[in-house]
Amino acid sequence: MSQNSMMAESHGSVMAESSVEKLTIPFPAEIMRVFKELERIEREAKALSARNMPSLETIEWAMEVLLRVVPSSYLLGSEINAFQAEIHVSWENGQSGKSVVAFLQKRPELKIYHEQVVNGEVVEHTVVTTEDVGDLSARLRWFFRPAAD
Amino acid sequence: MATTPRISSQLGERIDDDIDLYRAFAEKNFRERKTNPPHTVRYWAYLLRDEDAADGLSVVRTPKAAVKFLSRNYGYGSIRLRDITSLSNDGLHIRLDASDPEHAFVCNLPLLTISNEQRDAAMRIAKELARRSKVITCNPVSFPDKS
Repeated sequence: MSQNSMMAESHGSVMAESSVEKLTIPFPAEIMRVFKELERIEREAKALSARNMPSLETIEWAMEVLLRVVPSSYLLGSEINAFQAEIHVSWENGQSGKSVVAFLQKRPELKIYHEQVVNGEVVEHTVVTTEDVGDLSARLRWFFRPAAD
Repeated sequence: MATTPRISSQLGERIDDDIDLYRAFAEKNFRERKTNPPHTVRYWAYLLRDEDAADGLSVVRTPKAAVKFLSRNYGYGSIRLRDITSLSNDGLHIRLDASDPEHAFVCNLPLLTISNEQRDAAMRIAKELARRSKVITCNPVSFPDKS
């Protein structure tokens, strides 16, 4: 039995009936994966003694932001990479043409890029800077929303 | 990034021939290996790093030159020159490296770290260039010198 299904069982059948509530069930496996990715970046930064790698403060800031993504199921499919001193957390969906990238460097700032490609053309793209971590969850709601909505 | 020292470069003449250009995957995240190919190039392959801002993003005219100065690589990809320069209103162009005829630079790429406007442009361009590129191989390559 997976960690997710164990978690769902522990919440009982009433919760499992509601799709909205299902989304609020934490995804421990995804959270673990995110932590492991950030640990990998930390190890690489230490091993390389690289000047232009994310600092420990940046890694902790990324952990905090990602732990505050609601629902945590939005972490599914996210990809975590270091780029210079920044951490990029990205989501891409080839079918919808949507993508979201969160850039993390200095607490309390968060930058979010989003883009949508329709028939090979970029129809929407922008970068916003925010200190409201909830803005990432809001942008991910757009990302995960079916095209018909 | 795993590199070995190269001779300092100098911007040379502009090239406009519609040739294939190659870019090494110096990092694993420059490409995505798919269970069912084709594999895809990722936007990180086309993000300009601060240390490259003076010249531009490295591209080369032969696969061998793509990996020449890398101590390790994760394969390489290709893109047509006009698929870079035809990006509307971005003023991207290709200049030869005056000290190495196989090496060239994509000039005028925006730097991510300057402002939100530059970051937006850098991301849009990097993602578009990645879509226009193709993966030749996701496997490390080496081209032994003939002696």
